[in-house]
Amino acid sequence: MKSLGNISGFIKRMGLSRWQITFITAFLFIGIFHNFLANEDLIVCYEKSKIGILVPLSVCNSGLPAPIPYSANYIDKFNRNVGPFDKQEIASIHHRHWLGTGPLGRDILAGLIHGSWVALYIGFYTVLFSLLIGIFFAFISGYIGDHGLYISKGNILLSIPLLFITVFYTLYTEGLIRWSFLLLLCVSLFLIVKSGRLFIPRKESYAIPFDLIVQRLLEIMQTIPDIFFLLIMLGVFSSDNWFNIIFAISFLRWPSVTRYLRAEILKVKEENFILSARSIGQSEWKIFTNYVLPLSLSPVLVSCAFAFAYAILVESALSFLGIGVPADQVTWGSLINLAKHNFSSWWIAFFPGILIYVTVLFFNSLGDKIDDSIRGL
Amino acid sequence: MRAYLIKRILLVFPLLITVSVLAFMISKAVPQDQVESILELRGLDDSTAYDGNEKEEYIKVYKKLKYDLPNFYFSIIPAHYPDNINKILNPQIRNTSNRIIKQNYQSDKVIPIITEITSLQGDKSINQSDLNKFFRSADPAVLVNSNDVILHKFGLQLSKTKVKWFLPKVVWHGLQNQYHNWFSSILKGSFGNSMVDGSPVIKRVKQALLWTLSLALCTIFFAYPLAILLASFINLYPNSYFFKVISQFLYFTHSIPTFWMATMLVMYFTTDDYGTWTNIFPSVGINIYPDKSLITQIYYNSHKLILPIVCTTLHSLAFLTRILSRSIHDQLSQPYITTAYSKGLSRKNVILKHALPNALIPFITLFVASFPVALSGSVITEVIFNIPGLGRLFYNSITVADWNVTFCVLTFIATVTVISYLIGDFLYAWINPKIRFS
Repeated sequence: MKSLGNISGFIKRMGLSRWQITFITAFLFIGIFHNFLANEDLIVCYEKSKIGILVPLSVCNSGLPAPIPYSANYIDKFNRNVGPFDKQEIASIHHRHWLGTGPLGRDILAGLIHGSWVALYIGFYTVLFSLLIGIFFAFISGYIGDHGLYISKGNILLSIPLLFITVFYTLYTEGLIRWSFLLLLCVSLFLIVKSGRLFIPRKESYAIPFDLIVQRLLEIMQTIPDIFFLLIMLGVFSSDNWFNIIFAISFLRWPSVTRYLRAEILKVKEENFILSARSIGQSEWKIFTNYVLPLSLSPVLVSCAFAFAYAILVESALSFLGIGVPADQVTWGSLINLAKHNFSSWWIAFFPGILIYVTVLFFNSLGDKIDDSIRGL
Repeated sequence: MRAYLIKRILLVFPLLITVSVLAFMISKAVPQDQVESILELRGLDDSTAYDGNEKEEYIKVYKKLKYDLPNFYFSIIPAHYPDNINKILNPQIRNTSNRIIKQNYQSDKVIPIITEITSLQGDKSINQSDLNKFFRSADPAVLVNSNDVILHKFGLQLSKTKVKWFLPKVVWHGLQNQYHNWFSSILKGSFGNSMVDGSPVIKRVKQALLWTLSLALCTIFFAYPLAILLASFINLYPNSYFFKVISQFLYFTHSIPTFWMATMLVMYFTTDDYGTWTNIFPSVGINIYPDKSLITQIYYNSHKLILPIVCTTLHSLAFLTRILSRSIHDQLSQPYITTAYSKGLSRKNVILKHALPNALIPFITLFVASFPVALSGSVITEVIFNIPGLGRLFYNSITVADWNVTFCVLTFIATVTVISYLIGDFLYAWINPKIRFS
């Protein structure tokens, strides 16, 4: 168990090898600056002492073009289905398709660069949302547990109709009134929790069994395997934006975060320093954020690294099947999907696959390294 | 032990019922109209407006599938919603009324007005473009602002029915509802008919189950003994170059995405494009011989199943060997191993007879969890290699929105998962007495 106080020290102690550090910096750089690396527009345009960024060629005459002068969706009519070693009909060596083109003439290298942005975006948000949901559920089931929140009988009797009314009106109204009812729901939940007592039962009060509820929820989530759940959620409802797939994958992943974190919190809760912090009057929320959470988050980091790799893998599998991300978005999996019908163009399937493989391998080995460094110390 | 057993078995049923309710709710929330998909598949398109034969055909299919019953046993809805919106047989009236009622208009006055308006379709004396705009947008303001006198009158009538505030009401539908019919037919064993070809769902799932089960059994048969062998050898001879190479190879094979490896194998080994000498495997696809027995079918197609088995086995093997060798390595730091060595036992004896059985205990949970994992991993493999198994059946029925088949496969998978986790828990408790008495 170690504290997260010093993050750069933590990274140094993890002992990442050189190729791992280069890979992660290259991946982050290419992902964030994908629009400047592969674009048919000019990156910087200087004309008449005015500077513009990402200006199309039709508007501006002199400027700095991108290193790879194709964007992911740009169709090159003269070079369809050419490989990296074949002869290409291009204007200059700057316009060469280094990794070949797809069946419609889309450059593969530009597709890889834009696909890495998609992978970064989806991976980051998936991990973030699954962490948020997972930490919340682990808190209420691990820290508060079955005998945590005691609410008096009268409060329970009053809060049941209140909750029912607010949920009902949130569901069946529209617009501004719906948001105000949602606010009312959050405020009423907050007031109910505030009116209860933590860990100290009072006369005529019952404890809400959070642990039982969350465990039943975990069991329900465990019943259907991943691909089937994702196919139902995404194959049926149309997806116009990326957040459908982000919410779906993070909805799949939060049970594993909760399981790890809950086991760790249960272990840490029995320590003596928690008892002594309580006895000097420290508030429960401060105990959780200052003592329990930093000590129990280490296995969650491992789970985060594996979840990032998993998100990239699942997203490419889904775009290989043709569902998930919007149709015109180029990702690694959709490039491999193109290769299904053109068996002789090996470059369409080979390069995206290698990139997916290397990225997943990197994040898996990162997770293993964090796991080893936690266990070793 | 017996109390634990009974409690675990009793928990299975509420779980499966909850999953079925959730799946049913999702199927009802789908934006696609089921009856229209059936009619489309049978050739009666709804591209033209509803007139003549198509309308009656729609109502016939709608009534036969009993879609005019309410959805669930009870509904908690606002007071201005109709008790049962499914009672309206005409889909256009139903959809438009639904969208208008949701904007807070009184339902029992809206529905007759919409019925009258739909009967105006096709009438040349009415402004048809305004009418179509109204049906597309479901906004009464379109009617109010229209130039046509009759439409304007209807628009004013509609606006008068607007409701400012509403209370909830609980409607009890009794046992005559779609969920009850569906669930009781499942309990009787019939999942309905598939939308694609009209055959019973159970028959299609049984045919698909054959291939998936044979693939899964072959994978388990090859992967698990090999994994145990490899893991014990890796720990027996830790300095051997051969086993170091194998463990590195497995480490790298562990992260390969299955669909990419399958695509590369199919591309390279089954086609002539890279030279005829690499075309050693037959092209993808399974030949179905409907009059032969099941085992004979697998035997005739066995040469086509080699590549898929290689794909899935390699992936499982890498995963299992890594976990098992790590598990054995963890066991070797336990005190009882020191005792065994100090008793004078040889290294082979200690590892194979003492450490390996203890390291195999968490392996058992993996083994019983491998059936659901094999089922879920089969989706992508079967789609690529064109094997008519459960995964491909599920994927095809989702894309066509054939919910009967989807539910059957989903129920089957949920049951298999729950039962396998149950068996895993029992085996674990049986083998490890510490858990039994805790």
